[in-house]
Amino acid sequence: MSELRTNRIIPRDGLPSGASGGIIQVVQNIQGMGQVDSSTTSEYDLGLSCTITPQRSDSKILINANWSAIQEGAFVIKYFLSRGTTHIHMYETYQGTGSWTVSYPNMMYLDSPATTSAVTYKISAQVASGHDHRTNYNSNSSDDSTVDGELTGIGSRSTIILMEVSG
Amino acid sequence: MASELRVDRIIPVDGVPSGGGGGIIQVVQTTKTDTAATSSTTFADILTVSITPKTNTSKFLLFGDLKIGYSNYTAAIMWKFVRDSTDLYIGDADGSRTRCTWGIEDGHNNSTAYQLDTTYGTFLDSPSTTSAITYKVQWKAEQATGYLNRTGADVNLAGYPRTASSLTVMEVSG
Repeated sequence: MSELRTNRIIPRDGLPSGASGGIIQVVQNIQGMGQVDSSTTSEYDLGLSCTITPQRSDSKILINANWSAIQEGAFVIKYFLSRGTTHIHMYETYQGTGSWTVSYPNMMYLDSPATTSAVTYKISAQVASGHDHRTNYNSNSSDDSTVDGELTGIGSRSTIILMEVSG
Repeated sequence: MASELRVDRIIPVDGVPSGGGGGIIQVVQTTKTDTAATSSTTFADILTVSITPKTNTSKFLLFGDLKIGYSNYTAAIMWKFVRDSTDLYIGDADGSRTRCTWGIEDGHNNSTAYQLDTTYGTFLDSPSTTSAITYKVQWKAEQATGYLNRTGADVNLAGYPRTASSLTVMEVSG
């Protein structure tokens, strides 16, 4: 079996401007069971995070995360992708109905952390005051048959995957 | 002539991260551009792709992207990843509930038949084999009909969508 041990893969003629090279390593984290609720304006973690140690400081990290959520009422929801405690990407959506609404946000972002130290990426959310927002809605413990779109107990999971891309 | 590197495994100099993988060796994808419907309460194949691992330590990164429509708001639709006949990335057993990768019980509201959800699943699988593998997405419905790439309510007008769905598998060096 042939094997290549390397910390960087790039085209022979170099990287085109704005482009990245090959993928060096991949890590993932699957969110455990447990519903996360919020009805305040405070930003809160979804419990979806993953850590990677870049092989080179010029590497980029491709982040792909997806999760499920439900919310009641018409209001704006902000989702943040953070590196450590710094917001690096935001996804904002407006749910325009007054009843329970299901959503399946997906976020993909190419970050340049410029470090060889371990970095942790996480997803958080923020909602308008007084509106009920629930993520990681796969808990067995809180069935509520009155809520449309509920995923409780069905077994959906959320994931975050990090890929180190040669820079 | 372009340079070419032929190799079965790409890993960082210091080794593969715990629980993760190295570089990507090969990628396969299947795309479904027509529509489908199910009212079956038994899981059935909807997307299938085959791949032969280069090494038995390889891992496989699965990306499922399915556009799901519903006949009405009582619809319960589920889908799951399957390797050959083994379910992947499903929830824990819990009574009669359906174990799956993605699912919905009761649609959005009374306008459910006019909604088309983009649903995702992502998973890193470790099959430990060099034999050919078939990865599948299987789906089922309860209480109503589920649709792929179309809304439940469907009229031949520009306001009604036709989309595509896909299953992409990347071999990651392990």
